[in-house]
Amino acid sequence: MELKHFDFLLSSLVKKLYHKDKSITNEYLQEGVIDSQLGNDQVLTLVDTLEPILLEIGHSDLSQNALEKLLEPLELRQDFHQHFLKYWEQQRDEIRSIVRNELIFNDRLSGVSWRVDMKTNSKKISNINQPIAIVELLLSRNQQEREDTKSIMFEIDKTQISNLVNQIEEIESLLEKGIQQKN
Amino acid sequence: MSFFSEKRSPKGIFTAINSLNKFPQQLLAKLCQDVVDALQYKGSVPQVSHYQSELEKNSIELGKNEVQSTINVLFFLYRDASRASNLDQKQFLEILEKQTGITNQAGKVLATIWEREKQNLPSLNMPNVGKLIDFKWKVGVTFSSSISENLVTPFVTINISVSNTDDLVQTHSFEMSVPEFKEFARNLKEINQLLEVI
Repeated sequence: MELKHFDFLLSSLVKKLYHKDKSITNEYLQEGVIDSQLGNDQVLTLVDTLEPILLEIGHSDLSQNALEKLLEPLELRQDFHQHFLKYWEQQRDEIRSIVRNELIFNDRLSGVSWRVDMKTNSKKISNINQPIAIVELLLSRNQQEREDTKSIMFEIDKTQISNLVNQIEEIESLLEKGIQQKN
Repeated sequence: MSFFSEKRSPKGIFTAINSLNKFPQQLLAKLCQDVVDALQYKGSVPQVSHYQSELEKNSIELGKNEVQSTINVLFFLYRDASRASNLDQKQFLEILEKQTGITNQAGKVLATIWEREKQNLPSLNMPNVGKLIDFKWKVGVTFSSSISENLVTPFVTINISVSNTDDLVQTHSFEMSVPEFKEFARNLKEINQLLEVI
């Protein structure tokens, strides 16, 4: 087996486990490494060893050291071992955000867009021609392999947005503190 | 809020029309035209200072706020008229005279411009944009889950209430991971900066 086969297995398994790609079957994996010296059974054994590790490191967000420890008993060839480490380093952020999004069971924010307008219709004449922002939030939810999105639009004036930003800054400092404590 | 269709008058309209009545005819016609042009994005919003000085040349003293209110009320009236179905010149003038204290002379100027421009003012319809009524948030840390045992990560949950044009309030809730929240925050701060500057 060459490095390219190993790489193929790794990236295909990530597609299967994290991107929920249903086309990655055992047959697909065996086909992909057909020009290696491996027999079909050997491919499946390798897959069975790699899968739980890939699941563990993604869902537990393991560090490189922890990954090393997990790989030790496998006694992989040196270049495969290095490649795995490097591959994880590259994929980590993306996989982390996939797992995080899986933890949002209801609606998540999938988009924000906005524009600033001059108000030309209001209950008070003095409000007309004041600048206001129109904000659109896209909220998405995963429903049985489909994604449902709804749009919420609202207008917001100077005072309101200033208030909002104050609250946003409060949240930011809370998150800062939280992250510092964790580290 | 419909003036021409439902006869509902916004607050401050009488005072604004009072100031409008003081305009010399030609200047009033120019202001109406400027407003209508601005509504079609053909020109920029009329400048208060310009009209103040033109009024002064005619020995008419109006404060900045008073001039601003005349501009605002014209925007309101022409926009509202464009939404009312098939409003002709006569009806425009009649309703205007009945609902506000506008002089016949000033009313005629507004109505003439309406007649001339009404084809060009398409129903300037804004989408159903609600108003933000309430904004609540909480920050939590998920320390375990069925999906991933060890992923300890904070989530921000937002609960917003929006009232639509019929005064119905809808509440929506959504969660964000930290990077998503940062993006959300960035957008809001940008809006804040822009609104401060204008």
